[in-house]
Amino acid sequence: MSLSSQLEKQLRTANAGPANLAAQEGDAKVVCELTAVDSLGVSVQRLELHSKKLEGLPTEKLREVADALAKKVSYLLEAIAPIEIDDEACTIQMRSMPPHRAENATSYYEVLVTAGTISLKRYNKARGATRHAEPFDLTRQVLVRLVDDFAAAASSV
Amino acid sequence: MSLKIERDQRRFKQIVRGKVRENLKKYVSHGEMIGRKNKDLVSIPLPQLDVPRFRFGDNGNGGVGQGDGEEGTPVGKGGQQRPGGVGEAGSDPGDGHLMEVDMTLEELADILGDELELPNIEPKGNASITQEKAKYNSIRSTGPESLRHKKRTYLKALKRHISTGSYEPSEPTVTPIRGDQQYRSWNTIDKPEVNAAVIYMMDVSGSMTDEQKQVVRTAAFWIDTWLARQYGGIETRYIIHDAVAKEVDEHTFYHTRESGGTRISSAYKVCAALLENELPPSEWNLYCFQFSDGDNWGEDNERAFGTLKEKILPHVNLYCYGQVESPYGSGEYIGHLQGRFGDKYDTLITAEMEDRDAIYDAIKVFLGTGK
Repeated sequence: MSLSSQLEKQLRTANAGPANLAAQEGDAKVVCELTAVDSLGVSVQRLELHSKKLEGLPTEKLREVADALAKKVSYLLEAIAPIEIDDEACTIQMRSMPPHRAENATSYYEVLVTAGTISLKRYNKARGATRHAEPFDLTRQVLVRLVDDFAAAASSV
Repeated sequence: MSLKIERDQRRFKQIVRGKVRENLKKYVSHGEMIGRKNKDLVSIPLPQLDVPRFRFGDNGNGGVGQGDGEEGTPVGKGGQQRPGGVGEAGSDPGDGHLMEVDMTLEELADILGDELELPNIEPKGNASITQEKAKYNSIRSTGPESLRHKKRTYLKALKRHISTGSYEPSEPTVTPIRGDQQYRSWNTIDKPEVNAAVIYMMDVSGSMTDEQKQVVRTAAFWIDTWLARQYGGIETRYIIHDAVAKEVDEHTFYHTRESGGTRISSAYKVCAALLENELPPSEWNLYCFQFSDGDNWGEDNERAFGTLKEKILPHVNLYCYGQVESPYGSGEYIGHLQGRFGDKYDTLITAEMEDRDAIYDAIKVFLGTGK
């Protein structure tokens, strides 16, 4: 059963409160930390895909994964794009482009593509304060699609 | 007694200085004059200066009528708008046009110092560098014609005429010959100089936008202007970094954009090497200005603080960190920096620069220490 199908199944049986979902298929594993689940959607604190296919990849290959993600994931609140490429840490940092700016705070998605993992969080940064990860809402269909797209991007190299 | 034109010129300069002073915050924020800078002068766009002039009134309401009309037809009031709406645009310049005046960088620095109440810098240590300078303080019998000393040449010729008995007081003609010619000449002297060097470090990683770089460029222009005024010339070095740092020229510094991650420690490493190899702290007054959006990759902070503490902070007059806000909000490096070093080093100054308007205050904070 695919990762997304396993997640769908777990969501159907999940209670309304916080939930930690995990699914594995072959050499890929998805971990989803939810702060709330209801009949229409979920509130996501963290979404991670661990894949053996990504392990040991050089930054050029990880950049291809990031580019593939940027093309596919066009249905969140903001588009995401690679911002910084760190050769030393072998990490591609993707963020909302542009971020959402409210009166006194900025919020944005941050996707880190590393040699082994793709992770997604949303951050909020108020003026004069440190940034903190905040839950973001997705419909169940969007969450499932996101997991599919993460898996497809990881398999694309 | 000075001539009237000189008085007028002085008055004009005072007015210009007044206008620049009035609008200094705007100039500092918007960096309009940076593109107009040459070696010694900078052109400053000023709003048109008001020249007093007569304004004609309507001379009462009446006037003599002209043209066709029946007896008893009222005479129209002069100056009224013609029927048919507003006329077409004129071809003459309007009030909004700007005039440009040239001002020396020294004058500009003085205005900046007055307005921001900046204290004069006290260079650390004694002047330990000597520089060779040519001083025209001697006379030779050979040299280029442009350096011929006419008075001494005449005196020597006169002496020769008198000593040979060819001088006639009734007909005092003195004709210099080749052997009479005297020329100005120079000696090379060693002049003690206080040397100052500014090292700019800028984060050019993917998260730094062009707008942020413009903020840095504007701030650097004013810092340069002030320090050059204080030291009478400065050595400027530029370092850019993302995950890797390198020393570059001024143009590259302001026009490079990389996509690498932010590792501030790489810039510190290059800066420390510069201090060690080319700008020894015992001989230079050193100023380091670092600009970044503060989004340093987490584990790099410790490495950066280590180099900063060991190899930079103890050796410089000032280390200033300006955190320029990125579209993702200001980073957290400034907080970590303050948390780590706090008030331990009086050479460490930090400022947050949210936008162009914050440059003015940042410069005041950076240069207000008088170091």
